[in-house]
Amino acid sequence: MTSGAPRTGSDNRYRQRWAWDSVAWGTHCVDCYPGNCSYRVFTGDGTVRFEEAAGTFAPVEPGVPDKNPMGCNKGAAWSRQLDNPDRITTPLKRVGPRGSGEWEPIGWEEALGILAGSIIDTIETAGPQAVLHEGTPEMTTVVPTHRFMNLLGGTITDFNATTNDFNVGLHITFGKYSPVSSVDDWFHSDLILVWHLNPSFTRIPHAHFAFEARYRGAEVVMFAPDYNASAMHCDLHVPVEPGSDAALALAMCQVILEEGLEDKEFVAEQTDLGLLVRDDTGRFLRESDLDPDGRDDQFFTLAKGIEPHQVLNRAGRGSLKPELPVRLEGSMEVTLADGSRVDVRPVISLLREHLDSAYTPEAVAGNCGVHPDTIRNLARKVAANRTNVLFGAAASKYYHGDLIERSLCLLLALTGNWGKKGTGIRSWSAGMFDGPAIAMAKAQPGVEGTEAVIMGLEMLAAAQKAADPTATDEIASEGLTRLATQMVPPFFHWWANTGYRERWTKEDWHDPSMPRPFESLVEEALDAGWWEGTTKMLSSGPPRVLIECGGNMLRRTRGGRSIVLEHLWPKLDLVAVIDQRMSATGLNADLILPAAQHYEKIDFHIPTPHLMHLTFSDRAQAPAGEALTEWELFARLAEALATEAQRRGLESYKDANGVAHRYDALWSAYTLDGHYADEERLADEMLRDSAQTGALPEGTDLSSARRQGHIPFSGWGILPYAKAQASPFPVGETHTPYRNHVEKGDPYPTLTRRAQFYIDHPWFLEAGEALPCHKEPPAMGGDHPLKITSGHCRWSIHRMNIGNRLLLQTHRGTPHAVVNPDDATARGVSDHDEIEVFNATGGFVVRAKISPSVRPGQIIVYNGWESYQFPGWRGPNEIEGGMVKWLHLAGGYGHLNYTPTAWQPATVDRATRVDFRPAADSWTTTTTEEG
Amino acid sequence: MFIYSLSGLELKDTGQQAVEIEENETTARSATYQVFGRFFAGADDEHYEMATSDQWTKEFATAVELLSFDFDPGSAPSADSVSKDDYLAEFARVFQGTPAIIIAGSHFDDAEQNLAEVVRFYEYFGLQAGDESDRPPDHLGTECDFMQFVTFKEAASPSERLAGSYRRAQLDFHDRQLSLWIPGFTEKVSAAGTLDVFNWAAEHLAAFVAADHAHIREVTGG
Repeated sequence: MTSGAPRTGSDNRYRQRWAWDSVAWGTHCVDCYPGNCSYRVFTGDGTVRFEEAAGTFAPVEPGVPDKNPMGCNKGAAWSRQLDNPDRITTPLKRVGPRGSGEWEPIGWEEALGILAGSIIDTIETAGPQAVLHEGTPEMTTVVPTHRFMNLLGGTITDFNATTNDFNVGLHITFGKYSPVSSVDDWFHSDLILVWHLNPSFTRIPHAHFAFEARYRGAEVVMFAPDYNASAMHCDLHVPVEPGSDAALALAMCQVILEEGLEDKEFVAEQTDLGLLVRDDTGRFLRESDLDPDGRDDQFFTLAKGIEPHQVLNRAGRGSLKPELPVRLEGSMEVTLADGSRVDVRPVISLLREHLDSAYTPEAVAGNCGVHPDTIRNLARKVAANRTNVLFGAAASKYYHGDLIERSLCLLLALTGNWGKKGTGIRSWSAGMFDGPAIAMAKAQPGVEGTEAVIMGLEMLAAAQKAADPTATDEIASEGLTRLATQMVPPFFHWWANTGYRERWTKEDWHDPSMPRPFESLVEEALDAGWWEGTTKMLSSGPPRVLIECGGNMLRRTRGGRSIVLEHLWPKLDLVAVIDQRMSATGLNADLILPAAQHYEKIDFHIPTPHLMHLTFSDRAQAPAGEALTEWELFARLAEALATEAQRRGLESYKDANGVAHRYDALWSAYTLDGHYADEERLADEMLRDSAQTGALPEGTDLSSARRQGHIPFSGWGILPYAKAQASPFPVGETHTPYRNHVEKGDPYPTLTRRAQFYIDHPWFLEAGEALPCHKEPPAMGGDHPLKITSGHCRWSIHRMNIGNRLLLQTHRGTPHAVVNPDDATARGVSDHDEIEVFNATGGFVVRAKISPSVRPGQIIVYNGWESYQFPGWRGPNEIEGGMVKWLHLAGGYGHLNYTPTAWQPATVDRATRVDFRPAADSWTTTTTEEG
Repeated sequence: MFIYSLSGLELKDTGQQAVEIEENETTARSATYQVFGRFFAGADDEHYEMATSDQWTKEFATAVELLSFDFDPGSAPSADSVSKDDYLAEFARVFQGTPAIIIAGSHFDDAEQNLAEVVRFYEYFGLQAGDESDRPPDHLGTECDFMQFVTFKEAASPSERLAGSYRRAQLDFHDRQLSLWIPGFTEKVSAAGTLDVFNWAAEHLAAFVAADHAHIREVTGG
């Protein structure tokens, strides 16, 4: 409260600006990952005035720094966006041509009537699957959109195909990408390799754990082409050429093996490097090779017999602890079922040859630009220290990001660096807060509905285990993910309905190892049935209605607006955008529906083992104008659908799977017979459900969330993401994943049940990628001298804060491209000049920021700018390659089958080839490489 | 055989069948809450008749018979020294007025917040305030009804995990409702200078709540 003598005039007004009468908990429920900062939100007269980082996190482990204060510049300025000029406060209907910016404010009844009418038209003519929602990880929108679309029978695309944040190389290696240590576990590391991450920009609340580790003697090494903002906090900056990280990591692996520094026991037990491979086919020796009735997924190792003999030993599928010691050396001749004889040898033997032939430090120095002595020194450090790869989401956005990631995993495997404090490699994870999933799965509210859901999951898991007695809880749970998903990979929709087909069939933009034309590979994958059950949009025609909620397709789509605006948009009868603020997609929509901001509704941040607490956000003020929460909005849409259907005399329809839906039952199904119509009750139900599973402490409910703001998790709960951590739940200590594998010998959810570095899928063998290797990024964008790398910026979570006037005042306030002085001089460009960045796909105009921190040949345009902040509404995604790696169409191979958010073709943008030149005066005309 | 009987609450799912189960130590707890619930639900002619015919003593004695922890309700003092009208008026003065009101929210700083919390509690466990009831959801009689219900559901649970959920609900309701306000409420009754039978009921309610809280804390490890 303010105090002191009454004041007058501007002084008083200023002080009133900071006066408050009420305080609520707040956070920002977007994909600010791992985020989970807890704020106190101060309101006066029912209006949010300002916020402060709460700083109320208790220490977790003695001797390890606590998480306080947790916050950043964006969070501290969040309230400024409540009434920012780009805020939408009333439904808007397009009255001019699409993209003309001509709108008419309308009421909710008319707006929802338009959307309901268009949805019913679509259902009656094309089926509900032609109602499309592009998936998004934006926490606040996931529950309502998935609930509504699932009940409608619509299509939700797998969001990671679009974002490509989750490291597919980790999935290839471990059968999962989601194990992550808690951020405070970084403090336990002796050597931190910061790779494809710029934590001073993108992990502001958590970076201190890595940098504070230096106080206890840790060494922090930054691998990045540019000298980024985090590099100054590191002991060593290793400037690698963009996309050459695999070469560097593999050279370190070569040194470790050559010098005998590998952790042999760890390698033999935890990885497939001891499994035997046939010399004749290059495929693993399988039980089915030796016995026609044998299993295809039973593999073998060499074991030591009575000297000089060695024996063939079955590699355990239910446990990694071998009955006989695995031999990593030697070879053996075996007799196959048909009587023929072949030589077999362990993967590590192939690996040694592979590394020695192409990955000595001297051989790769030219690729990656790192001196051989540096490589050797780093390799020895990794082998001798608890090493943690502090990894970001950038690698996966390279065409060969999977190879980069597999190489880094190999480096950790050879040195025994996971499953122990301060080790491992991180990606993204959710899980633990299982209340939303349970609440949405219930047939009846309350504890007995919860019990029914939990029992159902247990029965399914038991059935999985009965089918495969070697399956652990984790593996059985992981199988359920595939069964339960509501998402489909968008690849086949993109292939059929967008401009990607033209892009992806450019053979010279793919890797030279692509063996056949891309179209042929798509056909092969479909003919093989690898994507069966995920292609319904391919057979049912294009989508007719797009509901964009939590995403921004026109900013995010790699390859530019033409990919969707020119190809998809004409097929759409209606584009409806639900958003808090005007977006690039909104500008090209037919209908814009205003959503409540984070301080205007009850919600939770993405739960993650990185933080180990659930962060609550309360309704600190009423939604601005006529804005609605997404939950209420979809409830009202369900009512509007029933009203419109009744007017037309329609009762029911069937979806693409033959399931019948009644129009007049949508609302009651959405709200569970009205029980979830009250959002406080819904939040309370979710919290209590999570307490039932043990993920949250006993007695947790909405009242306790309101008291505490953030609630420490008390158990893993029942979700696959949480079980994939494969570790005991940490109490009074930091969280380190993979411990069950390392300490107990629990198998991994891969084909071989081991961390798998050899992929003997026929396509991988054909591509020369059975083992991790380095390949140059293909020439996406054409033959141009510069590579664009990008990354998230410091001033915005994606585009969420990019129009925040306060944050815009903390930098140049306008989009800019960071270029090297030599490159700028060579092109006659001075600082802050307008330049045109271009390649074969198009171009965009932006201000040049000249900085020696960027290496020659590199250009950075940070992520987040709306395309409408650029001349002609053309932003950086116009020149992004947007290719997908053909190899990711592979399937039919253990863990390489469609796995939601983990295994599917996803678009890439890093290292797209570009050039720049001074912008012409006529920049508003079409810009291409022809000028 | 024991069957629960609610007056201030009703089942949300009206299709649920009433279940009779063998009496045991858990149904004894449920039965005890049932009798306390009836006592504090409100006074009427029957209430007075029971107070003058030693019927409350008998009902409590039957209810507590199988309890697994010590709780002796003793004998209820007779109210035959006062007329029925005076009895009813005194009940209203003490429990519906300011001396010792039997609405939980009045004993908490934020009555509105407490009411919302109680209602959500009921709803999650399949109950809602009865349409016919003129009692607020945080009325003492209704809170006793809730404890009667969740203890009965514990006894009738088909799975140990669900029984555990109901046990944890009891502990939580003690922690956040009954054990917080009943001790203070009892002191207020004592200070109100009221009939012995009302004092007796309040004191024994406090004793039972404390014993039951300790019991449930012990069995849940809470």
